[in-house]
Amino acid sequence: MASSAEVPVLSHDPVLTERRTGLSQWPRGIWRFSRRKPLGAFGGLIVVVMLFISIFVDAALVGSDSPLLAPTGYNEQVFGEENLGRSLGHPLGTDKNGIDIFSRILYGIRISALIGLSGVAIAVLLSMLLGTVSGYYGGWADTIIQRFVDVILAIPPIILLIYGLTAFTARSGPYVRMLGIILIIGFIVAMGSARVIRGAAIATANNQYVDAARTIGATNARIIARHIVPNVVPVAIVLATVNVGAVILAEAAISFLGYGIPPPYPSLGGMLNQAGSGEFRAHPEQAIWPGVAIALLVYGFNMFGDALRDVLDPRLRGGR
Amino acid sequence: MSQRDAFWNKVTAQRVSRRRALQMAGVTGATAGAIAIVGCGGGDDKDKTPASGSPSAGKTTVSDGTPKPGGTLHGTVSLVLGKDPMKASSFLTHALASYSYSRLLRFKTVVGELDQKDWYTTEMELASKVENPDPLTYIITLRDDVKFHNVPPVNGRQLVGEDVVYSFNRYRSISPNKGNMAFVDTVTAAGQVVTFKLKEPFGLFLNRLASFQDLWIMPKEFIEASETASEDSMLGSGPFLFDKYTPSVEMAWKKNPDYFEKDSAGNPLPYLDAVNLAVITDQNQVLSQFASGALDTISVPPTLVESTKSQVSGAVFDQAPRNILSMMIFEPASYTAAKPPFNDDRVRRALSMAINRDALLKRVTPEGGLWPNMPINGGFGESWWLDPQGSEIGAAGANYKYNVTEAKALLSAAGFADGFEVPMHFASTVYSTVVPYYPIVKDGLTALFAQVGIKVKEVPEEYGTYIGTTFAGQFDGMAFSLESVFSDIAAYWQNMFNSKENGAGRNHSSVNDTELQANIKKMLAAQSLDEIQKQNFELQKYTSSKMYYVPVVTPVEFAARAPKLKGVLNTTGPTTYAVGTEGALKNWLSA
Amino acid sequence: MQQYIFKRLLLAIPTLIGVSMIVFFMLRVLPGDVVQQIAGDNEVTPELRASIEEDLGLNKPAFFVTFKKDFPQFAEFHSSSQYVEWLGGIVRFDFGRSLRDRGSISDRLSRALPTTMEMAILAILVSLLIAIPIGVLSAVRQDSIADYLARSLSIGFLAIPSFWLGTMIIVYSSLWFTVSTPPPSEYRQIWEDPYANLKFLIFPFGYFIPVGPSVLLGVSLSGTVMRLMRTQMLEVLRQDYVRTAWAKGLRERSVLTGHAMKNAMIPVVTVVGLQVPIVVGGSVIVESIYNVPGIGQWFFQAIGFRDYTAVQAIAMLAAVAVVLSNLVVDVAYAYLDPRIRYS
Repeated sequence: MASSAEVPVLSHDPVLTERRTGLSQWPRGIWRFSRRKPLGAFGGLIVVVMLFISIFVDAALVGSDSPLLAPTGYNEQVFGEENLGRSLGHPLGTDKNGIDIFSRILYGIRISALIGLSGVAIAVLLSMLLGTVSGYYGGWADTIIQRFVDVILAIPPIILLIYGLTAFTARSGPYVRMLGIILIIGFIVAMGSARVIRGAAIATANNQYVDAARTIGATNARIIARHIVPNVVPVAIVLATVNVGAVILAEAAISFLGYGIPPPYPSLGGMLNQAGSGEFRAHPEQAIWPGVAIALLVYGFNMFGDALRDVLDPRLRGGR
Repeated sequence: MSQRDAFWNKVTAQRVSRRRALQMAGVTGATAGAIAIVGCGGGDDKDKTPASGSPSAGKTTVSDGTPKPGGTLHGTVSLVLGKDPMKASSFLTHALASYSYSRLLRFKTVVGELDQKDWYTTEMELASKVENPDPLTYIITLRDDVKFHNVPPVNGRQLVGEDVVYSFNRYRSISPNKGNMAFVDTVTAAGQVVTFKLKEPFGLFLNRLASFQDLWIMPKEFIEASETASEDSMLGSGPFLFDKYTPSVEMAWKKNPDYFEKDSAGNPLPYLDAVNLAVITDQNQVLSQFASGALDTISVPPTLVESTKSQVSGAVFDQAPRNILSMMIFEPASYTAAKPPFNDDRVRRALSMAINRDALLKRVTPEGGLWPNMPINGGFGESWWLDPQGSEIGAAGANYKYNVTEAKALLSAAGFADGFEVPMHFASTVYSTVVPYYPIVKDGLTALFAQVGIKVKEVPEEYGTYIGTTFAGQFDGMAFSLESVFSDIAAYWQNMFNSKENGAGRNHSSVNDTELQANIKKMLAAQSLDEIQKQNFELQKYTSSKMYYVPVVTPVEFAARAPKLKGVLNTTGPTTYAVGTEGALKNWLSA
Repeated sequence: MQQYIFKRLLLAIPTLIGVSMIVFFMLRVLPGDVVQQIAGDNEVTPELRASIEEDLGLNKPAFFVTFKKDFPQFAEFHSSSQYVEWLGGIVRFDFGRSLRDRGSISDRLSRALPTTMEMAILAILVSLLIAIPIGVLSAVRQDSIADYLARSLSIGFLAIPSFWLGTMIIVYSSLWFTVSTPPPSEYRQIWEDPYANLKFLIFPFGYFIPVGPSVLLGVSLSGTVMRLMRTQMLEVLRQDYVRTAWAKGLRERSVLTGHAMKNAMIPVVTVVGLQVPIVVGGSVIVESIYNVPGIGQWFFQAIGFRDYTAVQAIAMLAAVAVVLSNLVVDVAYAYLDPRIRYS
């Protein structure tokens, strides 16, 4: 639940000045990026692998649910094969239900990645809406929005999450719950970002070309669409990349506590849900891999997001 | 040997030989009187290493030695939900109350092994004589040597009949459990003699008085001292004086030096100087604390017995069929409005046949194969419990057999040849920590139901929601439910099957079978124990054929204790929840 | 300055009122009837419901106004309501009694709150202890091996879920070394017994091995601070006054500590303040795992059992802590950076 605290770094308004590159330039761009940001490139690699796993873990792309990368389905219980050790057939063994742990982790990566990315997408959209309106119009709209943001940010996010999930999804199936988690985490992250975007919007609105546009009779909607939004989008994207990891961790924590996605649906955090019952004392090795998967995923997104921010934020360029 | 006996022999694996050893020890013990017997019912002697310091390591059990007074017992409790047993409905509160309060009667306990025939029979606690001149009158004479704790405002005054009347009236006005004694008409007292007049015959009245969820005797001065007195402290006539309670930390008692009971050698009870229960919710912590020696006794989830044995050398294990039931419950409309699919007993029976109980048990307990908790609590013992795998159950026994073909045939006869999709509600928090087999069994059920074409849509509910809605009968489809302790056999039948107007608190599915209800009434009115037990078996056969609720599985539970903890009362049977007077009373610690 | 503080304090009031409404009303829309939960296994007759509601004070209207559909009387005002009484209680630091264990909430808070506050403060100290040196080092030696190593390490810290790490520590230390964290009855406040206290929060297995809850929380916080510290140092190191300091021939240490770090720390101060909600959230998890008798563990149990009064009190206090820490941060910021005050 961490890095929404990145906020102050970005309370200036970075402007995307990177030269547009054509499609043919991509390999070179990636090469240059990895030369300059080897750690970021490493993170990027993890992210790409994880995304690949998420997409191809089963044949969902062609509308089937038969496993593709995963050896078995995420809930293929085999009675009599519970708690097996590592073997060729089960690279990480089987769990208490006789399900292949490796498969569950691959599916779990999909759920984590899905929640991380879509949670952040919601956050970007919502924070741009609130931030732009608040920053551009100012006045009472600004006051109301800012007080609202204050209130939400004052309540620790885990409390809001538990409240929200209990109130809205307490009697729903796993899919509605997943949607609930995405929306609520997205909402909370958006509150943090909205303030930064507001700052960027104010800075943009104070530019002379915005005044000029207004003088020649441009409507507010047009100014927002043509001038403000393009200028705050990069800020929003930078905020988003640094928040993916935090969103993934938040979902894992809430599922760990039993309020998120419940077993047998393979949320990585949910796979650790029974830790409190002491179950892992008998098979501690079963608790290792879901945690490692979460850590790796978050690490990849954080490293990549960090490097991306360095590149996109011109003030830090050429610092050597 | 009937099949039922075969089952109990399995449950009590090593007890048969132990029982013989008991008799042998009894010969020498009779004169010494105070000699207690190691009572690790079904425990694992092979794991007792000589290094543990126990002189009795070995298969032939000998005495614990003379009880040694002193010492503090360190136990644990997962939740404290109040201290006033009259105000709370939670069995946890009632269990804690048993340290400080007393009942008129209690369930029979011995140090060591209690013969199964004696499970769930009563013995005197505050009462010294019980007379039953007619089915509607019970005259109970109290002991005259019972004093309340020597603590203000009661200051150790004698416990008299008026205290029983006061407690009963308070129970009847505020206890959420008051429905359990709705059949009592009046209670009057003259000196030490208390007379109960019943409205209708209730053959198990003495067992109801011994129930740990109902009539605790509490002094008036204490209750009325302030509005919150009974919630801040405890003051009764039990073996331990309430010392302190720190939320999330501990609950502690000190020895009551004026306790009325003596052991058979005439030494004062209790032996322990103090009892300290650490409040620990996280079971991982509980096991770690026990392994490191900070706790003397804990309960161990069945899945963890093997690993705990290998991690903690010298620990002694007791096992007991606990009084928790797990079952599939169905939306009330199934019975009140004949809503398909669960209005049809063929569907419910198919569901039961789809459950491979052996395989599920194997997942949650290394022993596997034991079915102690259906159709009623196995903890009531063989006089009350009908073995679902035995011959006595008759035709209904087929409903408990895992049989996919027959289940599918039943489903298609009921018009669901292609199966159906149905929501299944369950609790996603609290149980997963406190009752670790619950989520494992739940996962297994979804796979087993899928085999007969019943596709389960899982509806996880966090505990608060679950208890407030599903458990209260507000749900659709079906739910996987846990039933906590029933304090006596009558409570089971009344709560699960009586109509709600008759105070059935746990009739989740609004089962309303008038024939069954009439038979329950008949059983409760019967006066001889034999007759009651016979009818109880008939009821079990009947519900097994109807499957109003489909019993799932509850594994045998285990308790582990440090070898230095001696004088352990039998841990089997329905009596274990009144841990203060039926457990800690005769515990002692060797050096 | 005083005027600024006053202005900020004034702004905190509407925030807290907003928080109190959310805390109070969200709880009441949760599914699951509290009366049913108190009644447990028993059938809730109207009579039992009335007596429990009266016992809990739930028989009054929740808010001071209820809205109705029937015209013309579309709203009804109440002279006394649960919300108003609750707010009144808070002001007097009287939160009522727990719905579950029936104990006084204020009493319990007076023990649990200092515990969690101390744990949070220690966690923040730990995070600074890790983050500042690494952040400075990795900025000064930007893109060196040391920089890469330090950064991967601290981002690694940020990525490890603390609930997982904590579980692993407890399980493996018990399996391998048969040691456990101290039992809850050994917990002492720091002013009662500093050693026992720190043993709980920092080195639960003794031997001064720092794997306690505060350390776990601190480690997971340190990544954020480290990244910020590094960015700020990079920016400050390019400022003219730092170049001047270099040009004057000052030694590296004096440039870094005297000129660069002093200014780079300003935003770090703010971020430390902003981490308070994260620490509170983290405490819910680590307190349960390590069995620390603080408000996080309590909150988690209370919401599971629909202990409204306890949940309200804890959520409200957490929010007050957040608002206060924001206030402190703002004031500190204004103090450190005078430009803020006048804008």
